[in-house]
Amino acid sequence: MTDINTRALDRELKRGSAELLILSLLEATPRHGYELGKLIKLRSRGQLTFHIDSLYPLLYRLEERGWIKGTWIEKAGERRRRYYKVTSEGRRVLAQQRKTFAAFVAAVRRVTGVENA
Amino acid sequence: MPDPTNSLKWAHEVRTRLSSLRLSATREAEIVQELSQHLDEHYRELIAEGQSPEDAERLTLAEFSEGNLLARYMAPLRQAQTTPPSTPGAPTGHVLTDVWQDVRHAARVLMKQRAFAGTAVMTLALGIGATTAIFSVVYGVLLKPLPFADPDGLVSLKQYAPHGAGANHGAATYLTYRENQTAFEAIGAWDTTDASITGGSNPERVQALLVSSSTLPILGVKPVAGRFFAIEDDSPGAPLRVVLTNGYWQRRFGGRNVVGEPLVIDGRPAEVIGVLPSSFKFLRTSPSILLPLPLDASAPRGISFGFQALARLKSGTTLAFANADVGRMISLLPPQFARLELQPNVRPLADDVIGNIGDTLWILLAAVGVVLLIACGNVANLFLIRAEARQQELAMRAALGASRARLARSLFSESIVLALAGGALGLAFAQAALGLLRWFAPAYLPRLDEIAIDSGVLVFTVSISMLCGAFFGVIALRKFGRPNTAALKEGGRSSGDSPTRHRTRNTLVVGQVALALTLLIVSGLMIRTFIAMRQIDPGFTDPEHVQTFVVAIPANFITDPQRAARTHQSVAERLAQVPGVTSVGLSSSITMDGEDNGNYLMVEEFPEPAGSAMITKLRRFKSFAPGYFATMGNRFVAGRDVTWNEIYEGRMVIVISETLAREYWKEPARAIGKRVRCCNTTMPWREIVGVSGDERDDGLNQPATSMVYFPMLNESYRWRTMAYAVRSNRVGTPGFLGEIQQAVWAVNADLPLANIQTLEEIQASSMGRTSFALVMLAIAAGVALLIGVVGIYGVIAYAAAQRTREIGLRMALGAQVADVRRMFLRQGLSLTITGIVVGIVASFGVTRVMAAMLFGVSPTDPMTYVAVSAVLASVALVATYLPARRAARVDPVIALRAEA
Repeated sequence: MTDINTRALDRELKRGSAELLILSLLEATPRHGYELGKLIKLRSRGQLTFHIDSLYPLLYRLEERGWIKGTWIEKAGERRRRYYKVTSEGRRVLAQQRKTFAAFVAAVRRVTGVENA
Repeated sequence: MPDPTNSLKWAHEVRTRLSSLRLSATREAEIVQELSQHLDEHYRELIAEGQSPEDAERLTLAEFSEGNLLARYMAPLRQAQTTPPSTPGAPTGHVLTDVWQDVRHAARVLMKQRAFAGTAVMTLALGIGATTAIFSVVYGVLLKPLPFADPDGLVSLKQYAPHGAGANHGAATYLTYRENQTAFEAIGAWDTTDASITGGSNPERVQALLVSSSTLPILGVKPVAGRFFAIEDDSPGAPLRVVLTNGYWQRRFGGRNVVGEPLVIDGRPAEVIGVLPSSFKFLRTSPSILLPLPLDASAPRGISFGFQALARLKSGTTLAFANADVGRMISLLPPQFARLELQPNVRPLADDVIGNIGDTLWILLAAVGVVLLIACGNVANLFLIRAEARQQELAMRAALGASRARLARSLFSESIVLALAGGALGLAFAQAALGLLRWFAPAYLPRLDEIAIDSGVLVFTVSISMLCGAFFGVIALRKFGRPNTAALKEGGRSSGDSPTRHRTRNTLVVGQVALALTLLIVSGLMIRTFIAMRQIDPGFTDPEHVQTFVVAIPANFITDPQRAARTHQSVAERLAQVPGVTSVGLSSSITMDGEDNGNYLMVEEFPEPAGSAMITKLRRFKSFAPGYFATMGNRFVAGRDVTWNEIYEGRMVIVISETLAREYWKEPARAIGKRVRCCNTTMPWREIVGVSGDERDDGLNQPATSMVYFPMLNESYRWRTMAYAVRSNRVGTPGFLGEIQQAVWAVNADLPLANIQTLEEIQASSMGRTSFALVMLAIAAGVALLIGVVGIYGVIAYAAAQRTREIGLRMALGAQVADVRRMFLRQGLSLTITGIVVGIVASFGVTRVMAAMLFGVSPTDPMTYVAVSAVLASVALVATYLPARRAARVDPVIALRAEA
């Protein structure tokens, strides 16, 4: 298993593809920042790691664009947390980005000839 | 639950990393909380995985990369670029920015407390508005330079004349000074007179200003058309030339070129040579035309004083030097002047305009200054009360790190912002007040058109506003500048009312009451003066039914005196036929119209050595025709009126006034048949046939004038211009004046009417200074009373509110409603009485200054003092009773439950 340089990924994420990850994870249910970081690590089987100093600026940027919305929610027996959910604008962007990404992956496959990456 | 120590640590780590960003305080707190939670959860997971606390902490902090990526990623976000916070206590390091912050904060704080800010601003606006209005009058009338080039060098050339004659000029003094002076660049003569302008459609009687050729150049005035008088125009016998004022030129000629055109003035042909600029305003005169004042330098120089003189000082010359120069020249006058004992009196020309209104205006300015002080006292009290309520807030800010200076500045900026707002509103009040003043246009006030809110007045208003702000700012600071940390304790508000604060508020109230009382006494004395003047018998009755006007018959218009007299008689008879006219009378001047023709009267029975008495015993001379006394409503104390026949036959008869008769004969009736004569031994003796009731010819507040009435057109007093008095119930009704005018013109169409006014108007203008001062002082005193009483009310009401809990306790322990009420009444009354005592003492000093404005009442008149104190005390009692009654109605249960 090749390790991906997480710092380099951070830079990559900043450029935009990380947005897709966040929006996808929030599509089904609202989640808080720590949960998002853990889910990404878990589902990428440790390949993708978000550090605190890149995850939150990203969330705030998406929030400023109006794609997600954070709300403080207090659940019984837990402390107050900030949950994020996708806005309708965010859903539109997500659909668009999924299409673009799929097209991009298909194109890369065709060029590199890799069938089962 | 998270470990609070760790939470603080994480928060600190996050906050340090965010510090370079410009996040709003709330946003930063949110982010700190969110990220600290994240770190804390990560840490607890690591511990759960079996890491040692040290390793767990190290690994948790490894979430942050080198070089503070958090701040770098956050920096482009909008939320990281909010404008700097304007919370006081967070200095930006720039003085101007900080001041602006303070001002904005202050404005916001005050906007939230509308009731407090509104009351304070209104109170201040009243005080500042009144002060600004009066100051703009003082500035326009007393302080603004005269509208001439280099006005500082202009002086009025007068003499002190201890015996009443010689303050002005005649040929002797004027020519002697002109020929011998060393202090002046030039000397000019001037005088006013009335002139008839005939030849046009309607004959006109206008005011004329007589000037020597040097006068206009001294003033630095330039013609807008043509030229002014040259030296040759001054010489006797020169062809008559006339200069028009801009107003008359516009009114009569519509502004067309008239230079060189002829005009008939007093029956003499004259040539228009020039026009004055519209800015020309000469002292208290309002002439239509300017004529030369001819002086024959070669004529004999006897004692006469008929005109005025002005001069321009040589540059660098002082008034003292000019007076010394005139003192030297007085000794050069002809020997007969020595007994006049003249003294030099060179003074700034502006003094001639201002006259005696200076004192009145300064007293008024002082009065409104007192109103402003009272207003400031009230606002200071409000500030104290409010600052007390804010003790906790101030202590909190201090505990959060605001420096003392910072807190002081923010308290101070609140008071300044408040004062400036009051000043702005005050300016609006002042503007309205000046509009009212212009509308009333009191004749007594000179330079009315120069009174305005201009830059000088603005500077004054801003300055006094700042001063007021500083005043109550400092009072609040002295009490609250040092934050009281005790205020932070639970229920700390109850510790607010310390005895020293009480004392400050009480002192302010006592001061307010004292000041208000002083103003009330001053205006009370003015009211007594006014009443005293109204009760004086002025020498006439029902002045509202007497119409007066002047008809002039110039010597070269009707040369023969007999014919002139007959013309006057015809006019009088024609006037008597106008419907509603009950009587008509003629005199050379109407009572109190300012004409003062003084001369010496010799009495056969009481011969006096020539010399001294001629100067010291000046009598007022008038000439008159039958019907004058009856028309005025004056009575004959003894004897009878003269007849038209006696006038035509030149009978040697005369009438004198009661005061003069009593001076020589004690009983007026004993004067009848005695003989007197005018001026000198060459004049014929005249027999006294009547003693008239006194006339207050010098004004109601002056002693009755000693009068001598010559029958018209006599040998010693050939006055051909007569003032008419017409008594009718129709005076003031539409059309009456027109009928009067037609009646005069029916006799001779070339006779102009002038100085048309009712006797009531003459009387009112003679009381002008008193009424003006009275109205203004009464307004000031009324406002002072109002504000002062509000002050007392406020202090008692506040004390009652502060002591609600105590009252409840007292009542729970058995105190009666009346006891509680009495407690507050006692407090209010002791403040009032202290204020009244202080005020009375102050008034004794202050009223002495205004003694000159009083008439018929002493500055320490006990009745006024007692009455005014009683009024103030009773109003204050009401102001105390209302809050005291409310305090006594407290329900003990509610009072004790409330957090006091």
